[in-house]
Amino acid sequence: MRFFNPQYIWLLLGLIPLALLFLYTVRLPQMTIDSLFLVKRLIARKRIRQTARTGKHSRNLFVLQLFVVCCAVAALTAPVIVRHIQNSDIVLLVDTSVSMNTTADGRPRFDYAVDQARKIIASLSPGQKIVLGSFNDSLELHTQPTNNRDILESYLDQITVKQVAGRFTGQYLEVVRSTIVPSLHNPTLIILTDHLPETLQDTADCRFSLFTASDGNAGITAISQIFLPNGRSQITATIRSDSKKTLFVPVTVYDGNRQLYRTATTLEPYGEQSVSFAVNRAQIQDGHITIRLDMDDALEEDNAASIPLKKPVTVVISGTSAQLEKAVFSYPPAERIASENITPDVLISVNQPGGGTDDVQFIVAPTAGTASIAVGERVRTDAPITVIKPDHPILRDVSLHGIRVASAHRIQPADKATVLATAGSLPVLWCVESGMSRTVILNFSPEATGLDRRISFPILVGNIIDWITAQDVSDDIRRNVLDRYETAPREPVEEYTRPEIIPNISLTPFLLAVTAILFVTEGIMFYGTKQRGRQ
Amino acid sequence: MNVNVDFYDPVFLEKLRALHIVTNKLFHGRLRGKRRSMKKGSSIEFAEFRRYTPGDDFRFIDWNIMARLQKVMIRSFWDEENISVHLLIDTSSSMRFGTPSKLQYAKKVAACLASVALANHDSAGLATFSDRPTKLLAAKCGTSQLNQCFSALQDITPDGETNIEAVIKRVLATGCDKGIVILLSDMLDTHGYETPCIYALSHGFEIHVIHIDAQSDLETEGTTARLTDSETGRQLDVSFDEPLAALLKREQRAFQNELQRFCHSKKIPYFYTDTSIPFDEFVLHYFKTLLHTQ
Repeated sequence: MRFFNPQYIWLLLGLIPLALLFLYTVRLPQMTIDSLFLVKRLIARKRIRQTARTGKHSRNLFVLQLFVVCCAVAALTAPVIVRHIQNSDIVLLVDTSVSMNTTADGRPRFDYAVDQARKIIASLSPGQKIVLGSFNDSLELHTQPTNNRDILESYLDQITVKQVAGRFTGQYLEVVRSTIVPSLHNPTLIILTDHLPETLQDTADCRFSLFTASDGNAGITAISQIFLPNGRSQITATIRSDSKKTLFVPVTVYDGNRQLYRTATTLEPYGEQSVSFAVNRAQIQDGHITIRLDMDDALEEDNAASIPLKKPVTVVISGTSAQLEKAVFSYPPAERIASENITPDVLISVNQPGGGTDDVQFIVAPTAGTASIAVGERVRTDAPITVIKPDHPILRDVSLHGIRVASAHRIQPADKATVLATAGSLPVLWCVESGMSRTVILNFSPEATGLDRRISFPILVGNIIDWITAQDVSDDIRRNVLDRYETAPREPVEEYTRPEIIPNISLTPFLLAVTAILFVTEGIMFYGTKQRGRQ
Repeated sequence: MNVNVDFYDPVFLEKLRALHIVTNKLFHGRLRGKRRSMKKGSSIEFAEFRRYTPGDDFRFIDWNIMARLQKVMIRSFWDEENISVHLLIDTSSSMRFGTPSKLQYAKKVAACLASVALANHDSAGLATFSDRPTKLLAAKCGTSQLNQCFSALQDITPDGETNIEAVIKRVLATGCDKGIVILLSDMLDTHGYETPCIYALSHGFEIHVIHIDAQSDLETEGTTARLTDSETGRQLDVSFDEPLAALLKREQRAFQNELQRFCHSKKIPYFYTDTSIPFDEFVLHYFKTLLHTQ
């Protein structure tokens, strides 16, 4: 029979103070006198001095003895604290953008990320669930919340690097937050990426853990394409330094093997810098833009990234972005799309107020329908927006919370119109569907309300465009299976049980009995001391 | 421990026969004795004249007074009764100290006093105590009582703490006859000695304090020691500049003086003795002192 559970032997460390107390007790000559009555009188008269309180010492000794016995009892009974362990669930997202192919120490960054993912999966505790996903220029979730390691491993094996650029964007965060987070317990979002996510703001309901697999002195961590007006595109490469020195990095842009531009940038120690180029689609021959960092070190050939130049879709925006409140969005008719050879699954960019383009990108598909967004004359309202139809496709993943409309246009919606949001008594957002024509009325200024600076704004515009195109796009992340994602039922939490080392005994009465025995023993010891004193 | 050995020394017994416990206070006795009582009776000691009242014995009419004053007067005499002597012997653990031990000494003195009291037709009772009465022998007279006292004294062993106050209150509250309480103790009582003495006096008893001390054979090396109380077992670590025995002896003397002053202030007969003094010598000194002071 095992007398002690080795797991609890550490409790016997309580013997150390007891031993110390015994060792450091001053041994004085012992004398028994008839009574301390006269001695106490002498102490009161300060003829002799009391050097220590033996009673206090005895009490301390007794407490320590009690402590040691309790430790021994605890070691004997090997108590197991039974508690419900519910670790936070995990949303594990692996970056599969092209930059993850960059090698570091002979291995691609993607391999490091996968290794890290395997470790996370291996460390799953009972009841803890993982949602496995990957992202590049789109977000894809591969599994339901599960703690089945085999399933997770098999899906992880299927993830490969795509030849597209991408980074974790605010859109992805919104998707994760709206579709995954509510179904999980205190989820932690782990992003295995070589690039800092676009935004980690407003993450009160989601904890982030970032794993970066990049290595080397400097590397391209992301490359993206943004469509500009007139058939131009802006290529942006994000370069990050892993050096503690300030780096001067020459950058060369290639169209296939043809050199387009050559420039240079300076990177602060461990800093990040974006380099942007504007390219005209008409000038591009190969269709692949490659950016290379011309550095004289061994990592030079790894510091390159390429992006297939996508064709721009023509989005006709009436008016300038500064006059957005008077703008009328109209989707190009089908014949125009056909004549300009616009294919589905393309990126579009939306002009931002004040000029420039937003890097939020949407995937839409051309359709034969036409639609418009129109606004009218303004009247003063000064009321917060109240969403009437939060489930409407136009308002999907869009938050209008906290937006106050100072003024709106007195437009009476048509009879068949669906009012989506109001400000006070005035409708500020409604949509009308009539035959092949769809119209969305945005009856307030996005600039004046600050909506244009919100992450919801491009989503709203994207939703509007999606709605007026009236076609479901299967690989649109906002229309992906995520919104129909069903949470797997929680598995019962496992409880640890006492190892059968000694018979299961109830600890509390046992400890009480031991304490009582200890008191009796102490009493007997005290009586014995008294008797010895008398002798 | 045999108390009879020294006590039955014929010469000493002869000396004791001539002695008796003296008291100025009058007590009500239960039996006839040799001491003047508070009651009028038939002794030969004249008390007073008083007018004749019907029913008085004619034999006590003073015919001379009647002839001279033409009034019938009765001559009355004091009655003679015995008194009760209560011996309280401290048997706490501290009484085991000394050579001979303080308890041994107290037992011998108590045996002598009981013997003298009983020899003078007084009642003698015995109570031993530590922090409570351990043995209680009600005051009686007669030879058999002497044997009972002796046998009671034989079985005493020192144990416990001293608490004179609690014991006096309990013993005197048992309804025993008022008389003389003789306290034999080393008086090492942390609860104090004043209250029990005043309590006994206020309840109509006369109290004699016999303070038995013993020479200390304490030898200390160095200037620190751990002292253990023989009564309570409590330990005390002390340090001192002078030899502890000398300090204790000086303190003992100071304590004795305090006790003596208190007893004199309350007119309580106080006797100090040491176990080195022969007990017969002390007993004779006790009776002699009583005789002189009363």
